[in-house]
Amino acid sequence: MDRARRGDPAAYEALVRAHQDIAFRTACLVAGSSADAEEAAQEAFVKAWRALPRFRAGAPFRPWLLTIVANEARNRRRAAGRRAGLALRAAAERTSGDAAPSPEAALLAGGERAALLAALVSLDERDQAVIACRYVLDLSERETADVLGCRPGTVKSRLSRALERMRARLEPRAAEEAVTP
Amino acid sequence: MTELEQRLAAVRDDMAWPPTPDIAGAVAARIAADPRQDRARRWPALRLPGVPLLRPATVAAAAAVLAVAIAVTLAASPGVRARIADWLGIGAVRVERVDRLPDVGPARDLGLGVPTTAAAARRATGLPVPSIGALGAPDAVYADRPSAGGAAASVSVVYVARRGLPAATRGIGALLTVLRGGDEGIVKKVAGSGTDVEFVDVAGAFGVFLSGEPHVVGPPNRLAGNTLIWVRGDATYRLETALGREAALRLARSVR
Repeated sequence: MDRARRGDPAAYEALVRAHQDIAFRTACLVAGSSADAEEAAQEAFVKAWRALPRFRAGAPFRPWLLTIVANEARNRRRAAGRRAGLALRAAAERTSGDAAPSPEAALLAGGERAALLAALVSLDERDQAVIACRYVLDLSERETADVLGCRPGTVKSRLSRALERMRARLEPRAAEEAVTP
Repeated sequence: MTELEQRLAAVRDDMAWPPTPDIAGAVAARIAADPRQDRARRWPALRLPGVPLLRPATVAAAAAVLAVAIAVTLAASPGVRARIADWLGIGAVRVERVDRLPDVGPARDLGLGVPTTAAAARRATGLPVPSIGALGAPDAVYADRPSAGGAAASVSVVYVARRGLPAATRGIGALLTVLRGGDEGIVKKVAGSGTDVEFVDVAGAFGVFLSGEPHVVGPPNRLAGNTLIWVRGDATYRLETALGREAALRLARSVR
């Protein structure tokens, strides 16, 4: 990071490579289009490079970067007249050639995972966005607020309501399973 | 964390995302091609043996004074104005041979237009977005729309310098531009006596290879190194590298 701040392009390229996944996915979520997301993420990294000399030493890079990414993505979404961000999609069923699932994922049985994903992708775009930021992209509350353009307190309340709605969609299924012999 | 939150974290890897493009490569290419960086970066500190460290501002000031001095000297000299000796047109490019190159200052930018994606470039210009098969996918794509001022549409792809592909200008190893049409003069190249201009065959297409001393290309005017120009269909291709004729031809033959 220090080398990139001092203007070393190779060091900055390594920094971009380390953050390009999270930047692109965040941009996808906000912009609602992968082509716009690519442009937004690229533009954000170039802007961050230009502003790096003014970046406070020791401050975390990722929240700052994601704020720029989200702004660029929002601008593109507005310019395209698109109302919604990217709708989440569950990946196709895992095949035997896939990498091993994470330990947390291994704890969930196949049917339970499918139900959870179905409930998540059935939520409206606003609920999906806040849940995706916190649990799918694993952003902090502060980062989520920056990406969604709201205050951290609003993230808390929006997240709480989104989780409630998700529980409500999962409960009928759980009750169904309980009575099935 | 509630049970539902834990379960959500567990399905993190089960979400389908579009594949992440090579943003790092594109950003590296843009940084190399884009001179609009912070002033602190543009003039790195210079250290000479036995001389105290020259701060960036000092180097910039010295360079500015030198540039002005050269410009004043050239402007005051009789016969400095470029005189066209002969010219040839190839597709959208006009190559003029002069006794002496016109004075060009440091280029503000390469005049490639705006950075964009391949799909957006195609939509904006109606031109094919090329790639050099031998080098793989480009690191950055630029599009320049036609303007009321007469500038023509163009698409440029940039490859960052790498092993086997030395930097031609600003860290760029290969710059390939496609221009529509055969109206000569959309791009003008001015070559002095130290620049060799040879006719070549690019996979059956007529081409011209400029090498030797740098020539001036524009607009906007800037110095350019070895350049291969050829015409395919109704598009003119211009490939700038630091490579020799045979290596440049090999790259050109792999253009898709």
